[in-house]
Amino acid sequence: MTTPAPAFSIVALSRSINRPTVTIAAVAVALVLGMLHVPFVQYLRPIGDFYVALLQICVLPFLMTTVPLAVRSAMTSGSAGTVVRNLTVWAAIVLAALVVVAVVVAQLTFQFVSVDEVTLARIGAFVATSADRVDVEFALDPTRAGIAPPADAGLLAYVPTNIFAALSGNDSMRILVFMAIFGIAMVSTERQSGYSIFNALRHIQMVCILIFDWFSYSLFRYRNPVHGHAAWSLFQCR
Amino acid sequence: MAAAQPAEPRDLKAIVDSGVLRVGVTKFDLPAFHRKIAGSLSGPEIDLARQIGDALGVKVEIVDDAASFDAVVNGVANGATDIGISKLSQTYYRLAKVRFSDPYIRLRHGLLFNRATIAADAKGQPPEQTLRQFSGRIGVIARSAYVDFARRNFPQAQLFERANWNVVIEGLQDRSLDAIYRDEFEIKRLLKIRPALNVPFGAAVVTDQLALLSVAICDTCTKLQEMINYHLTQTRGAFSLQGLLASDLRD
Repeated sequence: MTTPAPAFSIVALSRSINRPTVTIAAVAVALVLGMLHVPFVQYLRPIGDFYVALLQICVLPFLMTTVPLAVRSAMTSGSAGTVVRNLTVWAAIVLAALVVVAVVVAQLTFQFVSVDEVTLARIGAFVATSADRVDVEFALDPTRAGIAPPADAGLLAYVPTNIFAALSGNDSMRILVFMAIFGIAMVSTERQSGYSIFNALRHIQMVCILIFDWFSYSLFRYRNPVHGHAAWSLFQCR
Repeated sequence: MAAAQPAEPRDLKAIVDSGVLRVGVTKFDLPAFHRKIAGSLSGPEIDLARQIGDALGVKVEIVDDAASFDAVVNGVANGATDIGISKLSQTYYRLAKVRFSDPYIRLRHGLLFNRATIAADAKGQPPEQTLRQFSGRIGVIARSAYVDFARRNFPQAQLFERANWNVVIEGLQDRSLDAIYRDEFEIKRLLKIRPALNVPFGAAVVTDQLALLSVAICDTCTKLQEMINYHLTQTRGAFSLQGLLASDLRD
């Protein structure tokens, strides 16, 4: 007696190929193909671009809802100070580690590996190709019509003077800063007046997560099989 | 190809009557613009000269004895040639001698600079302001438009004129120059054919300074200028930066 073959299921197929091992193996294969400069790889580019574009659909709405919710979560639990302190300490540690690694790698590379003209040409070609443009573009007269003013430098680069311009320009850092300030103000006014739109924000956040899920069964999904959304659940506010 | 002999400048009618259009070009190759292969000149600038000759219904005689860009202009000014086509930029100095056609291509000015020197001068700030007020040693080709451009645009810099582009590049490499100045095409061409230069040297483009590459025409030849402008209008788009960079860039 033979067992009938199970019916084909897209969901089952999707879950079977979206395991961490499969994803990591795919990344490894992609790296190898990229390094080998196999010509057919360029035909995969539109598929990749399309997939990334789909994922990007909800990035800004997700960011705009998640930041105020996270701020509220930290402020209501009384852990805001700890979170800020931890973030500062970790940022400093990561920055210092990156500097050390960069210095050590550069020292080792140039002390023990002789950089001949051919290697230099390869590095130069890589720099030129990856940049695909000149290093600096500037106007002798920056006030001249049609010439963009110089970009804001330092902290000014993160001040969201025009949130709508930042949104239309996909300027994530300015949006983050704005939403953090906005989130603090929302929590303060909620405490004073009792008015709140956090439930609405949470709903929008859930919509974004659902859309992400439609397009991607990510690695994170399998870290928390019970809840199903481990990565996103970090930002969930209870 | 022939040598230039000073003569009376000729306008359209005199050229048509003689049946010959004398075109002055540099005696050295200008990769992507014109170059000599097996004794024969070719390239888009030579094509342009031949198109103008065809439009006039005359033969084209290439006079390729000019040792510098200014020498091509001088050849037109003293009547040795009827027109000059050799990647010639319009400058105030040249406009006092000849008239120019409308530009057949507009190229932004470019710099190749020593990254370490500019970074040290910038003191942690973006390099734009340092380059804008450049006060180091800048190299250009002698008797080229960039002598004028450098004097005007970088008045605080120490200007060094070198015999040709290769000598200018050597100056940057041996650290006797801090930056070299030419058009965007030449800077990009150099980095394409010698990518190792990308490592110690950075490239900059001056967005509000244009080299207007045009055909040099005798100072009084208004009809010839009108005819060449009309031809350039008809063939608009024949020259482009991307097209030039996609051609054979080797010296």
